[in-house]
Amino acid sequence: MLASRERLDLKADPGELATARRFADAAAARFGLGDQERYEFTFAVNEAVSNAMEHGHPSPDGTICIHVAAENGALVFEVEDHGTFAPGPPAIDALPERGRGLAFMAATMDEVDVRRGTSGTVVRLCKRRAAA
Amino acid sequence: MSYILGHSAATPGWYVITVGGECDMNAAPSLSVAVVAAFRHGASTIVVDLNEVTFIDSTAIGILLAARERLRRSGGTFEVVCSVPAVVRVLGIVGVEAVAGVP
Repeated sequence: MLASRERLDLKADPGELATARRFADAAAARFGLGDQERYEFTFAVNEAVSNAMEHGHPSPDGTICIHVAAENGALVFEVEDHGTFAPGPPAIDALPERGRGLAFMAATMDEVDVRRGTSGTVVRLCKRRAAA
Repeated sequence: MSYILGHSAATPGWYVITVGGECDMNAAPSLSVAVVAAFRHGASTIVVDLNEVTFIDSTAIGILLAARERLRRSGGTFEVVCSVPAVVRVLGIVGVEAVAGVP
């Protein structure tokens, strides 16, 4: 069983992506997703957290906050960063590959929601159990 | 993530990149180095062996797509070998067909 809501604060460091994946995978296992859905959930979480680390800004204490929760029979993940999304000039060595992340999230999740506010950005992913 | 770049003296232009571990954003520079090295040596066929990969993200997949595109334009051959179901499925989202077996 998944506790009602679980939270993890990550350093805004790509070295923490593996920690985010372990957290997501453990939650997916406790929630009872099948192997394929579990991998897809972890995959999409990794994309969302990668984007937050690359394009967002951590909170004033330097962390990025992630949550998982069971809601109405679905496993929900949220990542919040405090970026204001005022895009600067693109870095000359920017990896264009990262732009694919959102499309991959959409392909593997039942719902993807990106909310940009004045205080930051919240990406919400939702994965339902596969029909038996 | 780790990789080995191999080639066959008997088959000029044939390169195999054997990748292992977790291919996330941290691994992308290493994977790029392997692909660039293969092209610098004049690769006309690149086989990427992902059998030992436990995780792959969109950055790594993007690097593979770019290599495939470059080889297609030059009349070369690009192949992914992988039997890890979860990895095969994610690759399939962007139309990368992985072949089972070993290179």
